[in-house]
Amino acid sequence: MIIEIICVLFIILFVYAALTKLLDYEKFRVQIGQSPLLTAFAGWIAWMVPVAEILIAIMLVFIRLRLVGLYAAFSLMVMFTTYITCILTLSLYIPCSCGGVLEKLGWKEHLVFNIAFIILAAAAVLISYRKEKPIAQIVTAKVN
Amino acid sequence: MKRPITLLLSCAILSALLVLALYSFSNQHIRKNNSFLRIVLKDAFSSISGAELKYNSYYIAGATRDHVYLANVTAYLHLLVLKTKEKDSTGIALTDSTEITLKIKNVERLKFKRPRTSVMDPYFYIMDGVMPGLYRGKLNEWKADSFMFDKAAYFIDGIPFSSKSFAIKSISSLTDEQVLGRIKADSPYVKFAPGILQKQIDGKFCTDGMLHYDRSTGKLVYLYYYRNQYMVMDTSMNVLYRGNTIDTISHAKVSGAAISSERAYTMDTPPVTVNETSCVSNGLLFVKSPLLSKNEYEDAFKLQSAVDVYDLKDGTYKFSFYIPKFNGKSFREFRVVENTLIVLYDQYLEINELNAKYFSKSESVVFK
Repeated sequence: MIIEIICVLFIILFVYAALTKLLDYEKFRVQIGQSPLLTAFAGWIAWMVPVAEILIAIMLVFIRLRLVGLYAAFSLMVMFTTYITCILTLSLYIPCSCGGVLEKLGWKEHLVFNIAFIILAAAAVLISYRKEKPIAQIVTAKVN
Repeated sequence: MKRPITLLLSCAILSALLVLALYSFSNQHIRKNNSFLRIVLKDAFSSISGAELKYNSYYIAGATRDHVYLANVTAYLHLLVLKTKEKDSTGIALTDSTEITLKIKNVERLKFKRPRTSVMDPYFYIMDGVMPGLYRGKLNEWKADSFMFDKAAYFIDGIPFSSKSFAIKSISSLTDEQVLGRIKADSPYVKFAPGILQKQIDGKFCTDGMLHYDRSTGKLVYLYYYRNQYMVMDTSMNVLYRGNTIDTISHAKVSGAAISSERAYTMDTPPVTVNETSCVSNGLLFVKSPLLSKNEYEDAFKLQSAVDVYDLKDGTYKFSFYIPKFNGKSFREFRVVENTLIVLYDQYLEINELNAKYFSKSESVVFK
C-alpha cells in the first residue's frame, strides 16, 4: 500500500512537471539555456528531462516495471538535487527553470522538497524488496 | 537487504557524478586567461568605515562630498542617507544614518512602474521610464514635484546631466532597437541620437550598457556590458571618441529569444559580461571587470574583484586595483566622489579613501 501511494505521488509529480515544461516548451528551452550549468547542452536537456519524467511515470504504473521505475525516479531526483546544490553553492548567479507551482518554491524549499522525494523513492525500493522475499521463498518452496 | 542498498547508492553516486560532469564541462570555457595585461596597484585605497544595511535591495542613488544616498528598489519612496565624512577618533564613521520618506506631489502611488531615484546635488530625481514620469525635489526638503514635460518618451534608463536635462537609453519605436537620447525642458523635448550604439547581433542585448555623466568634465559616457567599448560624448550627444577597455572581447557574445506565451524577449544563454558595473568621477572611468588577465593567477578573483581605471581625456588605461569580496560575494555597485570610494555589497556599505598618490585632487564643481 505504501509503495502504491509513493508511486502515485511520483506519477503526479513527474506528469505535472513534464506537462508544464512541454506545454510551454519555448519558455523552458530558454530557461534551461540561461542556466550556467546547462548552457552547452540546453537543446538536449530541454527534451530529455520531460521525456524521462513521462517514461518514469509510465514505468511506475506497471507493476513489472515498478522497481526499475523507482530506481530511475530515485536517480532523477538525485540529479535534480545535485543540480540545485551546485547552483546554490558553486554558481555565480542563480537562474530559475521550474514549471508551474514548483516555480513558486524558493531554492532552499526546493532542496527540501527534492530530498523528501529521494527518501520516498529509496523507501519504496527497500519496502518492495522486503515484500518480494517471502513471495520468492514460497515459489522456491513449491518448486522443491 | 544488501543488494538494493548498494544499488541505490551506486545510482545516487552515478547521478551526482553525471551532473557534476555537466557542471565542470560548462564551466570550463567561462573563465580562462585572456590575452591582456593588468597593472595592479596594491595601495589604491584604504578602508575607512562600513555600515551594515538592513536590506539587500538598496542601490546607490548618488553621493556628495559628505553623504551617500541609498535608494531602494522595493520601497521607492524610502531613502537612506549615510554620512561619509563625520570624523571621530578612529577616523570617519558611518554610524549616523537617516531614513527618509520621500514625498511626491500630485501623483497617485500606483502609477509608478519602475521608479529609480538619482541624486545630483542639490536635487534628487525620481525617474520612471515605463510610466513615464520625471520628478524632482531638493535634497533636505525631500518633496518631489513634476517639473518639466515628462510624457514624451519611454526609457529604460535615465540620468540627469543638468538641472533640467536627462540622457536616456530607450528602445526606438522605429527599429525596435536600443537607442540613446536626451530629454530637455524645451522643445524638442526628446531627441534621439541613433548611430551611437552600434548593433552587432540583435540591437537589444548586444548594445546594452551603462550611462554615466561626469560632472567635472561635463561628459556623458556609455559603456557596453558585453563588449570592450565605451563612448565618450558631450551633452549634445556628439560622440567625442570611442574608447576600448583592456580586454579583447570586441564582439558581444549574447543571444536572445522570444517567449511568445509571455510576450517577452529574453536571453537564452548566459551572456559573456565584459563590464559588470562602472562609475565615472573626476575625468576617470572605473570599470569592474570579471575577466582574468594574462598576468593574474587563476584564483585572483576568489577573494576580490578587479576594477580597471581609464582616463576619459583620451581613453587610455591607467591602472587597476582590487576590491575585496565581502562574505564571499563581490560588490554590486560603487561610486567615487572626490577621494572617497563608496562600495555597496548586498547588505553592506563600505567607505574607502583613495590614495592621493594615484588620484589627483578634483576641482570643485558648480552645478549648471
